[in-house]
Amino acid sequence: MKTKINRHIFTQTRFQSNVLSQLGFIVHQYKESGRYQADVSRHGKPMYSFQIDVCKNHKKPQFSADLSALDKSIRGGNERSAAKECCCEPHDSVFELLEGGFGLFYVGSGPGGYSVCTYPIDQKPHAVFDSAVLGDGDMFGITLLRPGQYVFLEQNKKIKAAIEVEEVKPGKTPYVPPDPVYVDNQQLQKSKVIKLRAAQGLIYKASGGESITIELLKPNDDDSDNPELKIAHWSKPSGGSLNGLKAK
Amino acid sequence: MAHLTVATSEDTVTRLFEGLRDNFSVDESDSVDFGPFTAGYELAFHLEGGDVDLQNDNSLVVKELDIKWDKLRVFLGIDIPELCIGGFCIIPSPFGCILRAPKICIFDDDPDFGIDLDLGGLLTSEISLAAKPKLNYFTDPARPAGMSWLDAEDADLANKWQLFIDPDWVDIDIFDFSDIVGDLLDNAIDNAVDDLLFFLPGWAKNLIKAILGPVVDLVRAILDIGDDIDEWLSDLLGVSLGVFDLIITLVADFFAAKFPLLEIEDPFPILPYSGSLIPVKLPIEELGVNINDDELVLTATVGETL
Amino acid sequence: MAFTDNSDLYGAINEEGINRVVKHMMRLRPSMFNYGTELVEQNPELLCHPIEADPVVFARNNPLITVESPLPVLGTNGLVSLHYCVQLVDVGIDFHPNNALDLPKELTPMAEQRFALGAKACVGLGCPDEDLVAYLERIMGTLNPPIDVEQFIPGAANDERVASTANVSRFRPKPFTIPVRRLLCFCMEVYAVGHIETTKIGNKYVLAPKLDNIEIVDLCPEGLENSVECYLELVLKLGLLPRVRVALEKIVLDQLKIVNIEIKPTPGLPNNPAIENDELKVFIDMEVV
Repeated sequence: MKTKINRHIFTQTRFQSNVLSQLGFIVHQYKESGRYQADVSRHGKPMYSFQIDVCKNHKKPQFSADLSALDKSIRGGNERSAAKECCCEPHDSVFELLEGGFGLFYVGSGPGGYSVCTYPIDQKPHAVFDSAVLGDGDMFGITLLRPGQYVFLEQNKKIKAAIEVEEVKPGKTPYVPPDPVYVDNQQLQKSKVIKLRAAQGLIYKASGGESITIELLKPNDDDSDNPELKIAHWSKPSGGSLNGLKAK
Repeated sequence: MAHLTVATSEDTVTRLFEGLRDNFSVDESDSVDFGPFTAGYELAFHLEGGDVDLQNDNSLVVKELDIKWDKLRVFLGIDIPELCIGGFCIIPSPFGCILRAPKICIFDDDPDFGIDLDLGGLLTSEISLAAKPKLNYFTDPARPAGMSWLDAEDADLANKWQLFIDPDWVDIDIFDFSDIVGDLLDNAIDNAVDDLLFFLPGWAKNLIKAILGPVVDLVRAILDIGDDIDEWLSDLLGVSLGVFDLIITLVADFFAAKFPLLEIEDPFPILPYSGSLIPVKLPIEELGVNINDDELVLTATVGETL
Repeated sequence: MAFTDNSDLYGAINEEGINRVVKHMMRLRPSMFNYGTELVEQNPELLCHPIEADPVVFARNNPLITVESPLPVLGTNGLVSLHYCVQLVDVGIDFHPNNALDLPKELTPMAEQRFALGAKACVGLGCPDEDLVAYLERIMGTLNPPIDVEQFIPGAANDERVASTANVSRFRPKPFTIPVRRLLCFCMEVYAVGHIETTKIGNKYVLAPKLDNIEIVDLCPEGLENSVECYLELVLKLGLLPRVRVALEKIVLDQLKIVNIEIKPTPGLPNNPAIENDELKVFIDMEVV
């Protein structure tokens, strides 16, 4: 069998908490028992829903929802392996979670572009969690692979910091990335530079109302001999006019 | 009493054997799944040299029959372990990790890691065998029952007496692999990694190689290569893949039944067609063979009728 | 002592073997041993001795005899000829020492390294009976040119009767062979002694039998015997033996399938081929090309 490389993780240079892609994830803690519905959108377009059953009787303190895999299984009508019933009516797309446990939303494959919003099943649209705007205690995690200088931006609270990712070279022993670095609003006010090694995790703990963007500014790899992985690319002309019309 | 006697000296038997030997060639391939890895081979070889020594006990011994590898490639297919990033603990606790980051894998499956070893020029090996003469009366399967000897002659379907050398034993000696075989393996592994990641930029290759660790060590561990790569390769080819047994079987089959040392047409031609005049041929009623340490002696009796 | 002490290859055939070879040759190619006119070929019952041919000879319409021209009757200007046949039968070969054939005293003792050949030579002549001869006489009489009467009787050429006779003399019938219902046969015991040489023809060596002496038993007078012996010697030397020589290369290389070599008789041996102990032996060397 020919193995396919997950090329998206090597080509991304922009990561956003409100538009989830691979290498990034969001964590929300479900403090109250109840039945929740999660609506998943992609590039703003509603795609599918699933349910979360939070209950004291459940044992799992964490569920991890691969939004891309669910997209395929739910919308494709395929059987989901993660769903099981607890206290409420049967539903075939249900994550079980111990009360106070964490829901982790990520993209396991593909180009991403997902957002998720969860609310008590009978209280729509009163969301308890919306990935578009992180709530207090929510976490946004990222694993940066490409060495270089990145910018960390939070527009609502005007947080801006630099991230430096150090390149890793093959060594005599297998490389194990260091423990993740945790940052929050207050820390970033003090230290404007986050230093990471490639593949080391970075976790931002939100205080509420944040939407985060991390973007590669300057790679520091020397790949003149090893050109970038090429993918199809198109960009809209900026500062110009379409069809010959000039902006006034 | 035999009517005809033909004796061939040891030198002549050697010449006959050379003709036989030069008709031998092998082109085989196979692969075996060993669980942690798969191994396969493509081999082609012919034979050169060979000292023929006639024995007094109606046998002959052939020594130093060199295996000349036209192709000897060994393919190793390894599923290297899942190669993922992430998966770190976000909220640790004394009782274990409460919240863990997702793993994002670099490949959509365990990557197939192919190593191609060209051992053709690196393996010195030779065959020795002992055989007894074996006579066989060959009737072409294409010859219809009841076909006259002359019709068979015209259709090139004449019967034949065949003299095979039927091996009592065949040995294959693997003297050694060249010293560079270790480097060859290391280079092959490096090349395999580069082939696997050829489309990635350098920083990504470095990262993956760093996560994998020294790939040579990893692969050697998966393949269970100890300190002695010669021994491992001999074991792989000989025991695991059964290449040496295959060679012995092919050689033994060839000499015993595939290609005769000599063939004598029956009836034996003495005068060819002359215009429309039919050829004159002699029925060889009985044929005998004996080997002593000087020569191979064939005796034949001419039959009274065709 | 090994057969190949002095050579690469050794081949031998003994008396019994060679006589079987001769027998197969006579059965498979009878036309080498039987000769006669077309009438005899078409009527084999005329032969002095029946021919035992292999059935495939008949199946392939191979001739039993080699057709030769009829024997002309002398004095007939080629107009009249006779049918005949000559057959060699009961051919046998005896390798030295002489113990298989009862050779005439003229050929004994047989020298070393020689072989003896014995055969019956049967000759049949198509002689017409008396009545047919008388009839032929009459015809030939009319065909003979008349006396030139002008030479003896002047003016006779203008005589109508004489002129008509002259016209008859200009008529010449086609040559013809006298038809017969049987041949007058007689057989002679013929013995010959010879040896075998290896000679090179082109770049190939052949085993070639050579005749040393021939003897016909009980044929008189001596001059007749000598003449017939001379004729039969020529038949054997020029006609038969050259057709039975065997190319060493064909036998050795075709059968043994040894490639890229040339073969030649082993040099330096006192006798090669050797005829001894009732066997013909050949010693051959190989040379890598």
